Amino acid sequence: MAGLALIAFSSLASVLVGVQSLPPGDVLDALRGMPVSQETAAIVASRVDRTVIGLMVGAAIALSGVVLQGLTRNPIAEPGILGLNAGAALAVVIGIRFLGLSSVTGHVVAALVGTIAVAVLVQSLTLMAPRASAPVSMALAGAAVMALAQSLIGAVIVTDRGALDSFRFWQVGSVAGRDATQVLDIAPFLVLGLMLTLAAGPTLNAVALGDDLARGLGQNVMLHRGLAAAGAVLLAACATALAGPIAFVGLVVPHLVRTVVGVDHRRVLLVSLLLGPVFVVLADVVGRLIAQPGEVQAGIVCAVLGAPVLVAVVRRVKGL
Amino acid sequence: MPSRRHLLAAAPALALITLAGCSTGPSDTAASSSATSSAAVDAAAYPVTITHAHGSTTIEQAPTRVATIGWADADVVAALGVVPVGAPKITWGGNAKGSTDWFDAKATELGVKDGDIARYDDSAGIPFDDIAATKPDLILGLSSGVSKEDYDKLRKIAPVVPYTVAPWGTPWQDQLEAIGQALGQPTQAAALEAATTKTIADAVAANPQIKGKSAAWAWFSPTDLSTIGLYTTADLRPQMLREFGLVDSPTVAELSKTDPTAFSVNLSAEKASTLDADLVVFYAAEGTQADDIMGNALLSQIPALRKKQYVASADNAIALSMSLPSPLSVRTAVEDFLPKIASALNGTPAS
Repeated sequence: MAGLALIAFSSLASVLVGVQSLPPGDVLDALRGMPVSQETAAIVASRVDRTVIGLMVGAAIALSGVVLQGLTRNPIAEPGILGLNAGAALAVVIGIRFLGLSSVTGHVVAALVGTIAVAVLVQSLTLMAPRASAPVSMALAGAAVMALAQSLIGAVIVTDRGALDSFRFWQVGSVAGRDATQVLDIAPFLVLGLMLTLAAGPTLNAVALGDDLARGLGQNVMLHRGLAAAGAVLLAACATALAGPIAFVGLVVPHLVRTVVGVDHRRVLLVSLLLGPVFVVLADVVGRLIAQPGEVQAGIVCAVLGAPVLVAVVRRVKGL
Repeated sequence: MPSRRHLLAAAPALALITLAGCSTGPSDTAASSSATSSAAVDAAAYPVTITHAHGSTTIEQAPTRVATIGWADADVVAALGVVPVGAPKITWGGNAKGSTDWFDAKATELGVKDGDIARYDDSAGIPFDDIAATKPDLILGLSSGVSKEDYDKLRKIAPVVPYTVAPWGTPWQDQLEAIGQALGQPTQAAALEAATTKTIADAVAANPQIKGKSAAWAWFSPTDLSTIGLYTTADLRPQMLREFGLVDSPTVAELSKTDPTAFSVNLSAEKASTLDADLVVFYAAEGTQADDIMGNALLSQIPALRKKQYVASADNAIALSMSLPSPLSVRTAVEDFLPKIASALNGTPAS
C-alpha cells in the first residue's frame, strides 16, 4: 500500500539525510552491521533512534487527533491545539521538579494526569460558551490553556537553579537526542492507546451521525466514547512523554487523510496510523536541513507547517 | 531701601553657593547606607558624557546613590570604593545571600552591613519598581543586555548607562573604564585595570602549557543531546579564555561570523567530530551529567572529549567568575578556574 511505501521512504530519508553528510553506502553498511568508522556508526544509530521515536510519536498524535476531532465534532481539535500536550508537559515538569520523577514511565504517568486535567478544563470552558460556536470556543480554550501551561513551565524553570537545561526540552518538542529504548519502556501504554483508538472507528462514525441515531443503533454510547477518549488521552500523553509538546500533527494528518480516503473513520484511522509517522519524520528531516550546521527541532517545523493548514481549515469549513 | 535689603538677603545665599562650588570632597553618604564611600571623586570629571549602545548619557555630577542592573556592575562599583544601593540577586552560581563571595568580601571591607544593599530579583525581567524604590541617581547596566524599551523606561527613574559593546558581551575593560568615568574616578579605574591585567598575566605566565591552545565553551541540553551549544566569540566566557592565553576554536570563530550579535550558536551533534578545539569547557551539573555526555556515542566524538582535554564545570560559583569577569572576580577565576584548564590541557579532565 502507498502508506507503507511512504513510511519506508521517509524512514530511509531520515537515516540517509542529516547535517553530517554520509555516503549512502556507509549508512547501509552500518545498518547491516558491517564494520564502519565509530563516528559513522554513532551517527547512523542516532538517526535510527530519532526515526523510531518520530514514527511512534507521529502515529500516536495523528490517531489521537482523529479521535478527538471525531468525538468533539470539531475539525480543529487535536492534542496540541487543545492544550493537552502543553498540559502534559507541565505535569511532567512539575513531576521532575517537585517529585523527582526521572524515568520515562514516570513521565508518562505524570503526562496522563496533566492531559486528563487539561481535557476536563478545556471541556468545561467549552461548555460555558454558546453551543453554536463550540468548535472555535474549544480551540480558544485550548490556546488559553496552552499559554497558561507554557508560562507555568517557564515559572518552574526559573525557580530551579540547576535544571534549566533539562526543562528546555519541555517547551519545544523534539524527537532527536534521546534513546529509542524509551519507546520500549512505555510500550504497554502505547499499545493500549493504539488498540483503543484503532477500534474506535464505528463509535466515531456513529458520533458523526448524532447522539440519538447512535443510541438507536444499540451502541453503549457513553462506554464506547469513554474508551475512545481514553485512547486519545493515552496516546497524547505517550507522545508528550517521548518527545515533548508537538502540535498540529493531529490536525494536519487527519485532514490530509480525509481528502484522500473519505470520511469513514475506520479507514481514516488506519491511514492516519501510516501518514502520521511520515509527517513527523519528514518534519525532523527538514529540521536537519534548514539551519545547518545547527538543527531545528521537529516540534518547531511541525508548527510552521501546521499553522497555515489550521488557518486554511478554519476558513474553508462552514460553521466556524 | 528695598535694593539694599535684597542685597543683604542675597549675600548669605551667594556665600553658600561659593562655598558649595569650592567643595571637592567625597560624595554624601546615602541615608540608608551606614558605610562611607572611601572613593575620592574627581570633580573635574563632571559633567561626563558616556556613549553606549542606546545613545549617550550625560552625568552632571558625582552620583550618590548608584543602582546596578547587570550582574557584574556591582562588583566594579564596589571595587572603586562605592557601595551600590541596589543590585540584582545572583541566583545562578550565587551564595545564600544572593550575592557572590568575592563581592561580599569587598563589601565587608567597605563596612557594608546586611540589608544595606537592596537585592532585587530580575528573573522575570527588570524589576522597575524595586529599582525605583532604592531612589537611585544613576543606574549602571554595563554587563546587562537591557533592551531599548527597558532602557527608556529606566531613564525615567535615573540616568542609565547600558552596555557599550554588545548585549551581555561588554568586555570587562570597557565596563571598568565606563563605570570609572560615571563615578568620577577615571584614574582609579585605569589603575585597577592595570592591576587586574597584571594578576591575570602573572597567572598565565605560571601555566605556560596553556598559551596558544584553542578552546571552545559549549553547553548541552541533557534531555536533547542532538545539539551542541557553543558560546560565540562575542560572549564573555570565550573572552576570558582568550585573556588566559587561549585562542578561539576555528569552528567557533567560523560559526560566530554568521550572527555577530548572538552569544551562542548551535552545532548538530552529527558534526561533533568537526569541533576543532584543544580544550572544551562545558557546564555539567553534579552527578551523572558529565558521564551522560561522555557516554553519548555522538558527543564523545568531539576530539577534545576523546583526548580527555575538557573541563566539566560543576561548581557554578567558580564558573560565574568566568562569565562575569570583574576586578573582584578575577582572583577567583585565576585561583580556582585556571588550574582546571591547566589540568585539562595536561590530559586530566577537571570538574
